Amino acid sequence: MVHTTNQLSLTRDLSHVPITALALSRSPSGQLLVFAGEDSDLVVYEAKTGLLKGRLLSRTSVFVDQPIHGIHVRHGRVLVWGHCHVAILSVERLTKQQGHDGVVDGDGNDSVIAKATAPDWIFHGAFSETDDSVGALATAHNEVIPLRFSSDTAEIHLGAAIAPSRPMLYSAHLTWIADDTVLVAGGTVFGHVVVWKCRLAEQQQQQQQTSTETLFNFEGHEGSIFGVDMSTVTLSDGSSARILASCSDDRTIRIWDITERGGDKPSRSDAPKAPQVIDTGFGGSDFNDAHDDTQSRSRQNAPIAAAMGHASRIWGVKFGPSYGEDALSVYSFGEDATMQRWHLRLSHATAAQEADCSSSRLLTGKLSHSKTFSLHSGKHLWSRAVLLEDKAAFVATGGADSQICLIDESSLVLSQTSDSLGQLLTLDTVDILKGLDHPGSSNTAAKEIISRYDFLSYDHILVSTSQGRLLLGHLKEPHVDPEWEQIEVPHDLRDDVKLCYVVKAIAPTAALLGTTSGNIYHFHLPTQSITHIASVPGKIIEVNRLSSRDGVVEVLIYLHGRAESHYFAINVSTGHVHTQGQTKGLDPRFVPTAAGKLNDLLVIGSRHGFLSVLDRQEDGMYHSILDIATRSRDTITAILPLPPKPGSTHASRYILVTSRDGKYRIYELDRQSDFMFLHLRHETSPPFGPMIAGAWFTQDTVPELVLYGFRSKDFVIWNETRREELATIECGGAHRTFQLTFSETIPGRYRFAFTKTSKLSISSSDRLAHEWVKAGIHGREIRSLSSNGRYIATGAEDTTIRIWEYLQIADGAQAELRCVAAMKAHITGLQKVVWLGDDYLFSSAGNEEFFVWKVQSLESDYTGLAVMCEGVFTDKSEDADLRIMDFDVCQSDDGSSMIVSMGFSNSVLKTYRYTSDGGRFELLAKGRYTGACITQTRHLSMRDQLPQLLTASTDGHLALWRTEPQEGAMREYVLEQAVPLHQNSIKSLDLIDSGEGYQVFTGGDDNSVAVTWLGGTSGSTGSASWAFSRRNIVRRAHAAAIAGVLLIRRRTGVVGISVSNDQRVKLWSIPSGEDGNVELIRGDCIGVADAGDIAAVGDFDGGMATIVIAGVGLEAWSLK
Amino acid sequence: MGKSSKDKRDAYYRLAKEQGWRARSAFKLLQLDEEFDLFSNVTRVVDLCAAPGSWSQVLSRVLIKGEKFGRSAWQDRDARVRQQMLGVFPEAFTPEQREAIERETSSSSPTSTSASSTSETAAGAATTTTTTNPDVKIVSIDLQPISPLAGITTLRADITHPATVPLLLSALDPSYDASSSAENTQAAQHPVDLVLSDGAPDVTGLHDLDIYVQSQLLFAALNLALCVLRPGGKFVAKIFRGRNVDVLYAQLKIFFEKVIVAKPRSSRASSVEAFIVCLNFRPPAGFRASLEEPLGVGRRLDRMVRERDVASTRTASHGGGITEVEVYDEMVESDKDNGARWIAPFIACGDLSAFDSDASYQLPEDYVSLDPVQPPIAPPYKRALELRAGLSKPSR
Repeated sequence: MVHTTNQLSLTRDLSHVPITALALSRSPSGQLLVFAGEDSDLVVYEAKTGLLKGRLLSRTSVFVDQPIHGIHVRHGRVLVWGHCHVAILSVERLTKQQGHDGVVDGDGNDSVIAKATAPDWIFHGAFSETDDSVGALATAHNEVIPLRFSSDTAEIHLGAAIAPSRPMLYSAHLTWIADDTVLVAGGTVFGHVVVWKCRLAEQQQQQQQTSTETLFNFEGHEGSIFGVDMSTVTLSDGSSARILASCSDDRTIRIWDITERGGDKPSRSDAPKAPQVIDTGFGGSDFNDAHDDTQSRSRQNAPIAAAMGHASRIWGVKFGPSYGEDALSVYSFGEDATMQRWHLRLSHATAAQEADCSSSRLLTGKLSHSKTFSLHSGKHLWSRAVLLEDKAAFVATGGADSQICLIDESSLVLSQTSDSLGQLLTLDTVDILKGLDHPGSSNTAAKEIISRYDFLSYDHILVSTSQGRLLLGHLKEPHVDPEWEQIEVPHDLRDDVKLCYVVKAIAPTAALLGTTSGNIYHFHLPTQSITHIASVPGKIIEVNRLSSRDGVVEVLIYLHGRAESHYFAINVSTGHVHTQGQTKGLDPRFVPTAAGKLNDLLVIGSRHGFLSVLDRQEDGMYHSILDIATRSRDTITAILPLPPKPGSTHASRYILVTSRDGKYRIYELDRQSDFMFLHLRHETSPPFGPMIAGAWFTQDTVPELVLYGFRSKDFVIWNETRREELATIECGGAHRTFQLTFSETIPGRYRFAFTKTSKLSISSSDRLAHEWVKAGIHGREIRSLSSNGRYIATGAEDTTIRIWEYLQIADGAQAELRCVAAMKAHITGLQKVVWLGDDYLFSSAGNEEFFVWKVQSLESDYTGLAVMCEGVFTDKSEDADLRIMDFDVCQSDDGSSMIVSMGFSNSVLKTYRYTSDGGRFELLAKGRYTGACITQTRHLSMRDQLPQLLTASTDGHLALWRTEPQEGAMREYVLEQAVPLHQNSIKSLDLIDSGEGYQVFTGGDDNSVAVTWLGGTSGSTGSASWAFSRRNIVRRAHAAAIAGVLLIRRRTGVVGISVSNDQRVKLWSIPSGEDGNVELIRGDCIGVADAGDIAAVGDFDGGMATIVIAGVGLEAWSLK
Repeated sequence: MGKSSKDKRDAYYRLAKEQGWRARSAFKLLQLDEEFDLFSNVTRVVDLCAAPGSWSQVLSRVLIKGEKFGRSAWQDRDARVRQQMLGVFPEAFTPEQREAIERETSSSSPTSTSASSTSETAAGAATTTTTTNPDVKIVSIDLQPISPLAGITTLRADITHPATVPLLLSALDPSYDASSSAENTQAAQHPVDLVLSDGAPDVTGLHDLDIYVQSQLLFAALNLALCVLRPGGKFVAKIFRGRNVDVLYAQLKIFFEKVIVAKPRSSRASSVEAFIVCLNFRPPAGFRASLEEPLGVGRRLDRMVRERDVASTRTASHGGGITEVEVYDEMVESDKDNGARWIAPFIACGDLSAFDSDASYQLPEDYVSLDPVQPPIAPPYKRALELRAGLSKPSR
């Protein structure tokens, strides 16, 4: 598809757009296939349960300009729909190249067998269970459209729509209940759920045989119904029941009994019912009445169970596997980007009062919350799928963040237990001692509580009790009870062991006990012996393991009320103390809470956020040689060295410090001959907290950073490198005793023990119970993009900035976007991000937020980028409520500082000098436009050491500014020239220096793109001054607002690129000089809605150039 | 952020409260009227999706009470003064306006805040009242109840439901008899001059679903309009400018001589919202509107578009120093799946001295933030919020 007049072509290399449809299916060869709708493409992945990423099998373009909204797989065929379009594809052809590395490329129309267009929006579709040539579609007006597929002619024939009534729906689900009958559930805009049966005509026969029967019309939801699902369950008494789940704008999930019973009197009609005025749905029945069985009317129409969940709207609901007796799981999928698992217990209630009713048994139920899965970022789980097999169950979720998660719920089916508690053991001393044959336990057990504990390894836990007992737990499979044995404590030590305050594993075979009497005991697993090894002068409150090498472990022991800590090097198996020392020179107020070793240096963190570096000196003591106050006033929770760089035997120069303020930081230790510095290199907060409890680096070839801590009532394990949540354990919150053991090689293998209401709970997992089939990006609209050639920065509505490395398509490898940093510092949605060189990134947002980020690579195996907020703009207006719409940055003439010009929403322009030393902003010049919001601000050439500015605004004008002296050193911006161009807001602008002037390319809210030429005029001061010379405008360039434009210089001339809300990208040829007009080269459909920005990566003259488009999603297109 | 924060961020929110409008959207209709003279020779109007009633309020005050609203109702005097000072766009002013500006500049300090100046105009110059018009008939429909407005018939009904047509017809014409001959049941005996719809769904964020639901509202409004509008009548409705909106433009062009997409200054540039202004109703020969066979589903409209063929030309013209370039886009022609496309001309309305809905404004220190004229409508999740609040309260 190369344009005839210009040899430019656009190819999409990478796509991260909202996942709008999902289906799961098992191939005949046993592969677990994930079908995903990514804009108009159907993408097939093979899931690799237990491994991290799925494998892409094929990508097929199915529709034009239309996202896929539903996928149904049956009989080896895929039924796909979006808006009013349907298509049928072959599973075999979509997965044919399995085994090869190559991906089936989607343009091959041979995967798409047939296409058709229905008269209305389609919400659901399904093939008949028995006849692979028959299917049915459910529309947004509660209609069923019969579908017939002829494999001979490869044609789809759609029958006439059938409907008992035509309310507007927000959701529908249909299921085949007989060879010629579908059951339809429709969720209306006004909060009703309609259930009806549709009997379809026999083949070739006409409509007289179609009939509809309305079974139920449920009222009660107080907002639009966004999701419905139906299921048939077999109850413990052998009877079967049909149930329906609905979810709504009103944040509730309701379960309804839709079993057809003899006593019901359904309304049957062969023709559409006469129009009637229905309740508009605003103001319905009382939610609290849902369980009120005394009202006879509500008895028929009340849900059998209801529950409230999610922080915002609920987009979907699905039935999951059943387990045990009369119990099944239900999943809900929310705008809040969480999936929630609910436990539904069903039971029959005998209706004594209604003895005359033939259906004497009514279904009742209870819906209770079981687990929240927050595996996506941002907002919206748009798509979902459930696969139920004999011994397995899977749930897939697709989000606006373009991520696909596959959750393995097979443990529910296998263990047949009610919910997540299957993975959680809760014990008290009585439970443990019950299994032990121990004399004299009975009289004290009642008062004996579990005190301290630690995991020796994944297999053993050592527990101390308030009565001085030591218990060893042999841990088994996650859902099997551990075996316990009591460790014999020598008689003379028993009273002292009662004072045990710390249990700390130092190896898989050894632990230390620390007492409030200052004694340290060594426990050795193979011999099960307890030995006293040392004493310290004070109450031991914590033992911090520093390092372990050649069977010797180094620990630091903290004492209550002392700044000084005690250092020991201990033989793991004998407990022999090799070296002993003490810290010296710390401030008496220093309360040590965490420590780490970096080569020979000891780094200790305090409760109030101080860091101290200590060096071992001749006297054998660690003396403080550097003290710094970190940016946190909260407790430092862990200090660990970063992995060294590849091939290096030395430790790295960096330490990672986690804190209770919700951030983790990386410092570089800079040791000069006579002085030492600790430079902050990286600072950010993961999406949990504020309590970050610790971290580790994985043992992968490229180490990944894993952080753990608490979010509200949950304990969270988070892979910061991949930005994926590995585990979430509901434990009640941060304020409790807890211990974690984890694997540095197997993701998702951990045990987490915590104390809750004096009981010990252990949550275990031996592997990851979910996988990321496709990695995600921002979960909200990306507003701004900037590329510095090497990295791309994105600023989004989710208030975060991310930095990415774009890996071009290379021999057989897909293009990839790898996140190298994520920063959360803004509290409002981002307006703009701009790189200055490779080291500086600037960002602006609402509330006059403006930050300067220093970006560096680390000399470490850990490949995360180090990003630190160096400058914070503080010269704000009184209420600090303006938006910094746009800004431009450049180096100052002498290179010593940076010049930043900002355009504000109140029409004000300001230019500052930013100095990196101290992160200072100094106001240089100021100006004000008419009152219109300034949307674009760009530097032109410098004059009097200040940039001349080009601005654009919501009034559609371009304006040129120069400065004039004002009082003092301040200068004032004076409007030199303003010209009308667009009809209203100029939403995007790019400019290119042509040597003699500038070419300015703009995109407006008025659907138009324009090119304006700026030419030089001879200024009185001698230096260049600019004036508008010529304007070109294409009024109907796009069908909607144009929020992203870009100019690129190619050998053959300048090319403009525009992206619009109409989801088109267009290429324009921009004439250089005085002659010629702008011309359209070509256009293409993009999958990014609400496109907000474009950026270029790579070398355009060299031919390897890529443009990146971002908005709701992100796409990379190569331009050749 | 204090209570006045929204007043500063959103000039029209503040102006609406100062001038007694139920919602800021009143200015959108006023600015559309200023550009397209919507209310001239108009006596019979249907306002769809009217709640909370700010458009009906405009109709009531303009058509029934005979008030007139000029630019002064939404003009940012401070901005006008600055435009004049900076000489930014002198062409935007008539000589009389410029004279007026000069008078003002000489009498008041250019730094005087816009807020104080508009409160003056709100009280006086913004409105002038002439005689009331007894022939005016205005019917407003919404799902939500609308507080009564002088001289306006309000109906609570669903505009997508077929039963609404007879309801509307009898409200427009008390002598209307739904049981009379079938031919007339869905056509007004006394047609109306103008049909308005400011309806929008609660957006989900799934762009094409929102666009579909919005187009369904638009087609429902158009369906009703086709039943009640007189030849030559006007139709104005909210539209979301997103993917495939050009298909919608092409379909509206079947029924009206002129179709323009308009964006009033009071509608934010950051919003996908715009208004489709359809002038001179001229349905194709033989076309009969019916809610039983609604528009918006099926391929009927697309067939009609292709029959009516919307011509496109490729020219370059000059004016005001700007070269207008028309381009030919082969993509528009090659897409057969989604229907014929046509991009309606765009007009920004409400003149350049109007308050900028995207800008932040400074308010005088003693500015007292007013309460909204009408409280917002309770959302469907109100009860969920209440229940959650109840749960989080201490149980003791």
